[in-house]
Amino acid sequence: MPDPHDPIDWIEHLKGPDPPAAAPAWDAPMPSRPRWGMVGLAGTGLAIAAATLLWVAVPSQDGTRLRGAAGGVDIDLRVVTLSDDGAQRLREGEVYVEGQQLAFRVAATPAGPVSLWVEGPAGRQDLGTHERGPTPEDVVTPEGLLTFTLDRPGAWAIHASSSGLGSCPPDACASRTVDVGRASP
Amino acid sequence: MNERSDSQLMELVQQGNRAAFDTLYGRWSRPLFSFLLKRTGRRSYAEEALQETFLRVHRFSHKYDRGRPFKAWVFRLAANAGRDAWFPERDLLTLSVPATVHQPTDALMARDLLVKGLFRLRPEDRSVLLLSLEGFTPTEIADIRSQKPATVRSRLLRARTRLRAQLDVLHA
Repeated sequence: MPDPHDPIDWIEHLKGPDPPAAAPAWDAPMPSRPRWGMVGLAGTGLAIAAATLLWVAVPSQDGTRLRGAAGGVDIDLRVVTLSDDGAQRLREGEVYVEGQQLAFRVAATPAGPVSLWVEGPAGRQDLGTHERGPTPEDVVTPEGLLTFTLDRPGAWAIHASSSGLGSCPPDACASRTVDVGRASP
Repeated sequence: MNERSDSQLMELVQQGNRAAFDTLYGRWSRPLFSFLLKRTGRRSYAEEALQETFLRVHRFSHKYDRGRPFKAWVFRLAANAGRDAWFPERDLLTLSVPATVHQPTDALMARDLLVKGLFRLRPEDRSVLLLSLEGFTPTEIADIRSQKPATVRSRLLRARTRLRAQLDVLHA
């Protein structure tokens, strides 16, 4: 694993596809380049549009974790969204589009089994029970990272509980809610 | 052909030896392509830039000074070749981490933050940083980019500081 705080170490771990196997023919034409003025203009327009959208759509608050109340089992539930923009922490209050994929990171203090489920417009879907310790860890299955797709519009809730599937007492459970809007046609 | 040095191969390329050119390509295409992927942000751009680089190796082979390292010369051609994407291609780069890592989202988020961070750098800062990762000293980079070493050091410091700030977001 790269040194978490060393960007150089991380960049050295970045890998890409292989280069074309064969060298170019000597008489191959030199690749043409775009007219930078036009590209720059288009790029600036895109950047302004993107910045405007972000300003409107992204609230400043970053509620990425929620803990169960003290006194029972302290559950730390973090939710990550996986999208075309990459993996990001779930933002409180943001309306996500149907098809949004989620991944989960959960901790329990003291350590023990934590059940995870999602309640949405179509009812409850169990995501299994996972042994957890005090350090938040991704929820994985033998196939890899556990992900869940918010496949329809409406209000969704994600629960992590040490009290068993479907049981969410305040001293042993943490929950997150997500609003999902309809994707543009 | 494989046992010959870069300099010897370039001497043959200057004489029109295609096999020597292919050997140089086999030897250098992978590190150059890796550099170009991180610099341009798109596979198609990196392929174009790699093609342009090697076409220039051939076309300007008579300008190559056999007393100087081939690596610095070819990276100079690569640093000047192709174009950069405004936004990196999604999933172009993957993080190579041990299979035992149990935090895939860490790797995903770090990769995304890092790639975004790389492409938020000024193109010249990014290029300088990537050249330093190829093992070039600031003085060599200054020679490659026709800049003063002090300018290169300043760009390197700025690039590292900004990228470190990106990673700190992950660990906040």
